Amino acid sequence: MHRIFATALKMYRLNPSGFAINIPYALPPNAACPEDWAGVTATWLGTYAFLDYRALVHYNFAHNLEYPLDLGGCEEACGDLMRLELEIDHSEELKMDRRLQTELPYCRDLPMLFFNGTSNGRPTGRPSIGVRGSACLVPGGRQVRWRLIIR
Amino acid sequence: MSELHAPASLVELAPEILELILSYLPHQHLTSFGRTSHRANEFIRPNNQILWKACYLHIFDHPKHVWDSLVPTARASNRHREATWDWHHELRRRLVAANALCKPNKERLLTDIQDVVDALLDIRDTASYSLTTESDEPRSMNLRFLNKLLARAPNVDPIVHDYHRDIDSMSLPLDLMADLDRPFTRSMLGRKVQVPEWASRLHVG
Repeated sequence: MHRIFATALKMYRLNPSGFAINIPYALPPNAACPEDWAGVTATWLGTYAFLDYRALVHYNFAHNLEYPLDLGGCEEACGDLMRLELEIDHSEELKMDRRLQTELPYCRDLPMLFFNGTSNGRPTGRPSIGVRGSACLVPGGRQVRWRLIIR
Repeated sequence: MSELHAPASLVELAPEILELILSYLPHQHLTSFGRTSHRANEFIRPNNQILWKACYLHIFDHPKHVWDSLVPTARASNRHREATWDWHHELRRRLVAANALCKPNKERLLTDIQDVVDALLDIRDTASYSLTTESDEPRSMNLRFLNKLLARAPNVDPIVHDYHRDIDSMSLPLDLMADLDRPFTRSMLGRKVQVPEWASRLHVG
């Protein structure tokens, strides 16, 4: 997974960010979309990874507890680097999407944002993957809760 | 007209001038200065907030930039912190945490881990782009401090990741799990200490 992010950082000429990503308002606001307080319309890169379940089973059922296993040493299967292009969407249909409904409380100092868009990897002629989701402030108003449905 | 005499020692200067001079010094020199005499020690005592504020701002961003940008709900719950903010205390706990990370004393670190991580998170949470360089690039003193610290600290991974990695030290006694009706697996090994709240806030790219 680190290898993929290192590639992405180099491709887009970004510096390794570390703590810098935590500085609030570090991203310039999108002048074309002033309601986008969360950076929905900014550049998104993503990937996915999963562990071989055989490694997980081995980890749980290895009987020799004197030699602690470390799943960190196991190879992950990694997806491609995907680029997400998202837009704020005010449609009722999106807001009423059953999968985006939640009873979790949120801080109303900023409005909940609903968005949809696409996720694309390297051009292979395959159709884009649809993305939709929501972003809101958690109670306390210091962090953002993201909900992304990628299918 | 009376003659002007140079003060015999530094502490005889007018307090505001002495304060101005000392405000340029890094904290370790302030401490050294404080050891030179009772008067010097009095001068640098923690409640000299003006002096310690200047010292703090040598190293860290002024937290007000972040505080001003908080949404109203967050700002309201931050008011108490702002009102009771003590420059000396905040400077000290950050520097103590940084020193703890740089010393390879693992046992000590485990007992103080809450304080160390809270201080690091605080540095992160009060970081702002308050400086610009000649090329108009935004800079943060807090970020610079954290990046330098991570480069210097010998072994940060056990703190950022799982510092309970040693199963023997942190697992529940196995006899408590003897009555299970299913096979005992490693993932069931409990922890003596609850996963701390800060674990969810500390994630470094």
